[in-house]
Amino acid sequence: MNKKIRFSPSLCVTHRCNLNCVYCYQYHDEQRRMNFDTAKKCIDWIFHNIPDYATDGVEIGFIGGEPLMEFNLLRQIFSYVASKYNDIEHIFYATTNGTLLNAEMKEWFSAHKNCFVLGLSLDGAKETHDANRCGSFDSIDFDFFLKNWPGQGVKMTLSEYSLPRLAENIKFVHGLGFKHIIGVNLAEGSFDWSKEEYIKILIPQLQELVEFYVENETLTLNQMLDRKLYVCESTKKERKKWCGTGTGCVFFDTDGKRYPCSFMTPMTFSQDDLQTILSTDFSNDELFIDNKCFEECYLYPLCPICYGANFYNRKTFSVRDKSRCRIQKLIALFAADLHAKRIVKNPALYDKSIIYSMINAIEKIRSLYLQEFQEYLL
Amino acid sequence: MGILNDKLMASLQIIRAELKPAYGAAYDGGNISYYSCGGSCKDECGWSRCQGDCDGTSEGWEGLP
Repeated sequence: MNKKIRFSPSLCVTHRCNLNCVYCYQYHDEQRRMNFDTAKKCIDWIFHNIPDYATDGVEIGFIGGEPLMEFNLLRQIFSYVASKYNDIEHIFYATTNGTLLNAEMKEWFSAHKNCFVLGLSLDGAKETHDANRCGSFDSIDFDFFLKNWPGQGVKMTLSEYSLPRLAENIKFVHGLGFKHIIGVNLAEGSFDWSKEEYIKILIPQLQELVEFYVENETLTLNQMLDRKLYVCESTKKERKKWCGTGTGCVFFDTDGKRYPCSFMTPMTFSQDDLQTILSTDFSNDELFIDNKCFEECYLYPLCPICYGANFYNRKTFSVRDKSRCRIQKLIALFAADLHAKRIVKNPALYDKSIIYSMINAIEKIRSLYLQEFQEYLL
Repeated sequence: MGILNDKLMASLQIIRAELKPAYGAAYDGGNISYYSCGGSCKDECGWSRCQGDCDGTSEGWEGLP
């Protein structure tokens, strides 16, 4: 299968944000905004440095802060690209909190919806979203997003408040009509995942979600349960770093300076930390592999880490934060349960090329990890 | 009830046994790309819209032309 690969650089257009979400890890320096001259230089660099492997054009992401605080700049960049690089296939994307969209912006984005996509951050039903995201639920026009980008997912971030309401919130978001839920991950927020209390809180949520997704078999699984377990059966193990941070990733901060990725920037790290980070040889994959995990853990292929988040917590790229191991095993168990039930209910949902290995992986995960959680599952 | 209970596992084994003559040898894991993690990459990278190899690119994503 020939995959279509798109070159996906990002521009941080502002550090400013109109919200102050409970889990936000960024420093919001009000002064740091990208100007048009800097943006043009970044854009020129991007279109003159498209890698050979990018067979599906260029996707320029706008990141903040809240990128829609710089709506005029976004429009300027859009026009600049259209005037100068229209012969190269390209598309724009921005993640937004959705609260700043006024009539003028809506009209503009609707007119350009085929080449400018907005992705919404949404944490669930009103009660949860408001608790996490500064009471901003009522400021979001969900229909605007659904109408213009019906296939686009939302980004859901977990907090202490939302974890015990996870199933309810995921069902709510699907109920609104959003097909994909991304960002439901363990990396963000202030959780200490080694705490047993989170195991106890998460189990009933996962049970409820498994039941929901088995009943609604055509729904795309949310990110937490969407595990391609069969890759654990792979016999091809390569010692590779998981993502393109510092290599394939291209991220421009407001001053036009390049950073390894959207996480490892002055918005997240101190200058001292950045100095250490920027002196790292990102092309040396060995610096990013935790040998213990690689050699010993069956779930390694399902457990890539965000190196930025790992450095944030551990000041290292190579030694993983193991506090999440138990919770990863627990999620793998429920993902296995979900896939097992879906396979038994309707094997036709699964590609025949993977179903055999999927069943092997389910058996293996059960044999390795079920006993560890038996006391909570009775 | 319960997760991955004996009855469920027995049903899976029946399905696998039916598949084995046709697919068993070919689908023993050897043909699976280790990095076709499809989705688990997103588990950590909340920003990522990658559909597969997380190499700083994306294959596009749902909803795009």
